Amino acid sequence: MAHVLVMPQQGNTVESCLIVGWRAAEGQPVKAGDVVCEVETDKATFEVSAGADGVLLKILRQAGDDVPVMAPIAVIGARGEDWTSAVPGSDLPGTRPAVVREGGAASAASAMPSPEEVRSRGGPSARAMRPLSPRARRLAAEKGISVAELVGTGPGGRVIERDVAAARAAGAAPVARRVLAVDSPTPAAARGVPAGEGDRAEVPVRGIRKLIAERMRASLATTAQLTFNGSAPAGRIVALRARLKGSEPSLGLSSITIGDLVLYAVCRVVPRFPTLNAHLVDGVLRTFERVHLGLAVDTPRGLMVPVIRNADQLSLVQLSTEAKRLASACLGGTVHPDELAGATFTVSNLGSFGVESFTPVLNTPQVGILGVCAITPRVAVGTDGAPTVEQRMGLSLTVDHQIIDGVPASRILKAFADTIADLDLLLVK
Amino acid sequence: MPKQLIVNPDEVRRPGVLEIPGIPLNQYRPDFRAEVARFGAEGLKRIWIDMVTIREFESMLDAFKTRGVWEGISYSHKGPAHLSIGQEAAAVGQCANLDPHDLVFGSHRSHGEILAKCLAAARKLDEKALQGVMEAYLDGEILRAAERVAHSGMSDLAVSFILYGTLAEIFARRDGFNRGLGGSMHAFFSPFGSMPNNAIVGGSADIATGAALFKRINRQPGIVVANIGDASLGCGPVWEAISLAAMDQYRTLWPKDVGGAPPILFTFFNNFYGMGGQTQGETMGYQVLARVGAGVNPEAMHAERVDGYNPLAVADAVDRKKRVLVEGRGPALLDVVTYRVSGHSPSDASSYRSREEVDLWQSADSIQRYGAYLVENRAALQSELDAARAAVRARLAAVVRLVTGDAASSRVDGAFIESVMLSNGILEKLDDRAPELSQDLAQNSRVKALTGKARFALDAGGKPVPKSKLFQLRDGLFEALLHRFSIDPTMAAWGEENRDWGGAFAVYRGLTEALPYHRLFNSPISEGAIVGSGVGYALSGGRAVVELMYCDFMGRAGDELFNQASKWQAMSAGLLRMPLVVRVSVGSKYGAQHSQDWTALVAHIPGLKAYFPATPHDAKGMLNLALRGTDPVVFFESQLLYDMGERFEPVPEGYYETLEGEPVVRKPGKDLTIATLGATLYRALDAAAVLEERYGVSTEVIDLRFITPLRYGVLLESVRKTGRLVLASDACERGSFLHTVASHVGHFAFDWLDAPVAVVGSRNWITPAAEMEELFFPQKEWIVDTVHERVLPLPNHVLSTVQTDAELERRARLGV
Repeated sequence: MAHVLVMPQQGNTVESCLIVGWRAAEGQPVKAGDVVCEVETDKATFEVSAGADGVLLKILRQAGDDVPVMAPIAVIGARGEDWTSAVPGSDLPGTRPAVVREGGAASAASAMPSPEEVRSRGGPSARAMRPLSPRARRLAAEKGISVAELVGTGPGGRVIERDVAAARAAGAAPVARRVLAVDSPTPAAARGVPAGEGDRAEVPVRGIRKLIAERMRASLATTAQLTFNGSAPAGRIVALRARLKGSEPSLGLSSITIGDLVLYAVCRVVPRFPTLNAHLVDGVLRTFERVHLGLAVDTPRGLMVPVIRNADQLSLVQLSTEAKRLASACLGGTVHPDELAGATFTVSNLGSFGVESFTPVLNTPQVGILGVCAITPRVAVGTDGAPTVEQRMGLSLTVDHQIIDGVPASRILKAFADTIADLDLLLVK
Repeated sequence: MPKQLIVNPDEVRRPGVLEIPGIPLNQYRPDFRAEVARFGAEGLKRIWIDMVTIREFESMLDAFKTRGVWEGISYSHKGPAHLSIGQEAAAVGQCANLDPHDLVFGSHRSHGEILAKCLAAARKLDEKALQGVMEAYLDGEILRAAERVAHSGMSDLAVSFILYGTLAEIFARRDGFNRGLGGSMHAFFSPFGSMPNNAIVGGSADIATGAALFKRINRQPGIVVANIGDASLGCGPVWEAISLAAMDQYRTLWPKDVGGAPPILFTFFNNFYGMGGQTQGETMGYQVLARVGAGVNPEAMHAERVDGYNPLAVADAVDRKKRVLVEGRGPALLDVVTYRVSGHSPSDASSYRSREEVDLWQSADSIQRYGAYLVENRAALQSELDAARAAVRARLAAVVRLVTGDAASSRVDGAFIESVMLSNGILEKLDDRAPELSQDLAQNSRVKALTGKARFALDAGGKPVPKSKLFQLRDGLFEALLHRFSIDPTMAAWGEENRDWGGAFAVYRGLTEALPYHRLFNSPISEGAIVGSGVGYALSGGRAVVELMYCDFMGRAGDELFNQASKWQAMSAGLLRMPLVVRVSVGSKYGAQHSQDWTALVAHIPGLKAYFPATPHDAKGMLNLALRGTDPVVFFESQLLYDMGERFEPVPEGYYETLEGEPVVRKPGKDLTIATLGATLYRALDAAAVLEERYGVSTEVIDLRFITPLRYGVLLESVRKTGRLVLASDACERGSFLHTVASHVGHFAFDWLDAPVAVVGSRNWITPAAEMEELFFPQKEWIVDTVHERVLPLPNHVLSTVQTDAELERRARLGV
C-alpha cells in the first residue's frame, strides 16, 4: 500500500515550509531512512526521509513551492502501484492516508451520522480536532515531541502511543536533524541577466533572510519602540571575570564570560519589573512569572535567538553552560525549533565589536531588549575632585512605549547598571 | 432419590379411592371455667388489654395518616401504614400460648402481631431477664427513652419499651427497634421472638420455613409461625414453602433423633381480601382456605378453620398445633377467620366492599364481644376495663409525645446506612457444639481419591497431566465445603439433586457418605423456597449453602435473592446477619434457558456479594472465603470449568482464602490488558497467544474473579502500564457488569489510555444450541478483532468478525 509523504511540521508554530530541493527522482528506489527532500522554515532547513521502503512513485510538490505542513508532497510505494487512491485528488490539509476498514452495515436511511462518519469527516475542522489518545499526548509532552506533525495509526487515524514512540525513535526525521549551511544565495534561482551589465546577481530574498526581514520590519512598524542609552561601572565585573578565568580549573568556572555575567545580572533584574517580562499581543499584555531569556546569536545563515528557559532560576554556572550549548547548537545547525521560541526578554551583546551604543530592535511580541555594548574608558570626577578614568560598559535598552514609559524605562536601565556595577555582591546573595 | 425407597409399580398402579380427612371448622366451644383455669382471670384480662393496646395503636396511626393529629398531637407520617383494626383478637390469641423462643414472622400488616408477641413474651420472662434484654438492646437507647414514661416496675416499663420501639421504628427514628431502617413493614424485635415482617406478600412463608429448619436441624426449642394472608396463597413461593415444609423425608429418611418435620405453622390471617381482590368468591377457588391443607399431605397439614374474632379460640388452636409441631408431625395450617375494618392502606377508599359488610363485622367487634364475655363471667368489671383502656391511651399518648416531639431522636445518616449494607464478619463457626458427621472424614472415598490427584495441570516435567488424574475445579469446591462442614455444626446444604446424585455437576459427590441427612438433603424443585429457606436459616443464626442448579433459575428465586437475601442485614440495621451462600451454575451447551450468565443482575442489587472463580485454586480459596463470612454471597460457577485442572497456582491441600475483591494477573504483559470474568479467561489466554505470536503485542491477562466487592488496584496498575484494556465475559454485552468496570477504569485511568476501554460480551440473543454456540459466546477471534478495530490496529490482520463502531451502533439501535 502506498505511503504518502507529508510535509512535516517543525515546531508548534510553523504553518508552512519551503521545498528547497528533491534529492531523489521519480522512479528511484528508496529506503525508509533515505533523505529524499530538503525543506526550509524561517528558522532552519531540514532533511525529510522517505519514511518507507519502496519506489518514489510521484513527486507532488516542486522545489520552490511553499507547502502547508501535513500536506502530501510525495508518494512512495511498489513500482507500478496505483497511488492515486492514496492521495484523494486534493491537497487540502488534513488529508490522511486511507486506512482500510471493514465496512459496517451502514443504514442509508439513517439521518444521524455514524460514529465512523463523524470521525472520518475530513477538512480543516477534522484537522483541528486531531484525535490523540491521552497516553500519546502524555508521552509527547514528556519527551518534548510535537504531536502536530504525527500521522496517526490508531483506529480512525487517531495518533496513539506507538506513533509518538516511532517519531521519537526516528530521531528528528520530521524535525531538524541538520541545518544546512547556505552561505550564499542559491545560484539555481539566478535569472538570466544580460551580460555586459556587470557582475551582479539577482537573488530573491528567501528563507531565513526573508523571515528576518519581515520580522524586523513588522517590529518597527507595529510598536512604539525607542532606546535609552546608559552605562554601568564595569570595574568589578571585569575583575570578577579575571578572577574566574584564573581560577582552579577543576572548579569549572574558568570559561564563564563577561557576557554570561551580564546575563546573570539581567535575569535577576527583569523579574523586578513585571511589565518588562511580557508579551504584547492584540492589545493584551501577558506577563510571565519566569524569565525565558532570548540570546541573540550571529550565525552564518543569519541572526538566531535561542531561548534559555527559566533563566531566572539558574545559577551562574548553569546559565553559562546553557548559553554556550545553545550558541553552539545554533552555529552547528542542531538547535531544535522549539528552542528558538518562547523568549520573554532578549539580550543582544555587541560589546566585542566595539559598538558603543545601538538601537536593538524588539523581538516582538516582547516589550524589551537590552543591548550590551563595549567596555570603554571614560573620564569621571574622582572623590578628590580630580579627573579619573573609569571603565564603563555601554547599555542600550529598547522598550515598547506602548507599555513602558520613559521614566520607568530609565529606572529599569539604572537597575541594570547598578546590578552590573555591584555584581560581586549579587552573587553572594 | 434414595435407593432405600423403592417406587413399586404394583403399588402405584393399584386401583382405589383417596380419602381426604375432614377439616374442622370453627370447632372451639367457649368454656369459661377451663379458660380461667388455663390463663387465670388476670391473664384473661391481659388478653383484652393487649387487644385494646393494638386497637389504640392502630387507631392512632390511622388518625395521623388521615388527619395529621391524634389526641392533640400533630404529626405527619410520610411512610406506609397497613393497619389491622379489627384483627386484634387473632394476633393476641395466637401469642397467648407461645414462648419467647417461639418465633413469629409477619406480613406488611403486622404491627398488631409485633405488639402481641412482644407483650406476651415480656410477661413470660422474669424481671432480671427482662431488664437484661432491654438494657442490651441497642445499648439501652430504647430503654432510656421508655423510662421517661411513668411506669411502675419492670413489666410496666417493658410495655412502654415495646410501644416506643415499635412506634419509633414506624416513624423511622434511630431509636426504633431497627434504627428506622425497617419501618412499618419490616419491623421486628427478635429477643421476644418477633421476627422480620415482610412487605412482599407471602414473603415470610419460606423464610419462616428456613427458621423452622434451623430449629430442627440444630435441635433448638420452640416453633416458628408464619403469619401470612389469605391472598398470599396466590403466590408461588408460599406453595413452595409449604412443599418444602411437608417433605416426607423428614420422617422417612432423616435420623429419628433429629425430631421429624420442621416445626412450622402456617397461619393465614384470613381477612377475605388481598388489597382489593376478594379471595373467597373472586380471586381464589378454595372457598374455605383450610381446604388447601388437604392438597399437601395425608394429614391435611392438621388444618383447621379457627374463629379469629375469639382470642381464646385462636389461643387454643395454636396450642394444639404447637404440640403437633414439637412432636415433629408438622407442618400445620390454620385458617384464622378475621376481618380488617380499616382499609388496605390509608389510600384505600374501600370501593371493593360494601358499607353493609363492614358494619356486620363492626357489630361483631372482638374487643367489644370479648370484653362483654369477661364482664359476663365476672372475670372483670366494666369499670376496670374502661380504666384499663384509658390507661392504655394515656401511656400511648406519652410514648407518642416522646417519639414525635422536639426531643424525639434523630434519624440515622447515610454513613450508618452504608455501614449496615454488609456485615463483613468472619466467623469460623456459628455454634460451639461438635459438628455431626457420618464418618471419619479420612475414610471418605472422595477425600481418599483426591490425595492422589495432581493439584497442578502440568507434571514435574512440564507435560499436561491426563484429565482423569487431575484435581479439578469441582474438587476445590468439595474441599472448601467439607472443611466448613467439619468445623461449623450449623452448616447445612440443600437444593435439587444434592444428596445421592451428589449435585448435578458432581460437586457434592462424597458428601452423602460424610454427612447425615439433616445436613445435606434434596429439596423439591422450588427455587424460591430453596433460597428463601436459606435466608430464614441464615438469619436465625445458621450457615446455609443452597444451590440453584442453573444460573437461569435465578428468575424463579428472584424475590428471595433480590428482596430478601440482599436486604435483611440492612433492614434490620445490622441486627441480623446473613451467612448464606447461593451456589449457581452458569450453563454450557444446554440452549437458551440453561446457558446464561446473569452476573449483571446480581451486580446491580445492593446488599449482595458476588464471586466468580475460574480456576480450581480460586474455587477453593473463594468458597472458603464465602463460607467463613457473614454476608449473602451469590457464588457463580461455570459448567465449562468443573473438570478444569489448575494451570496457574498449585492448589494447597490445607486451608487458605482468596483476598476478597482482588483480581489476579494470570499472565503478565506490557502492551495490552485483557481482563475477564468466568470461563472466558481461557479464551482470552488463547487470544493473548495469537496477539503475541503473530503481532508481537505483549498481552497481560487478568482474571477479575470478583464482581462485588471489587478492588481496582491491580487492574488500574495494569492499565497504567499498558494503556489498553479489553474486558471480556460470557454475559450478554448489553448491561454486562463489565461496562461498570470499563466506566470506572475509563475514569480512573483516562490520562493513561491509548484507546477507549472495550467490552466484549455474548451477543444479545438467546443462547443457541451447542452446535452453534461459537456464534454467540465470545471467541478468541472476537477479542483479537476488537483489539484491531477499536484499540490498536494490527499490521496485516485479517478480520473474521465485525467489531466496527457502525456495527455496535446498529446493534444498539435495533436492540439486538
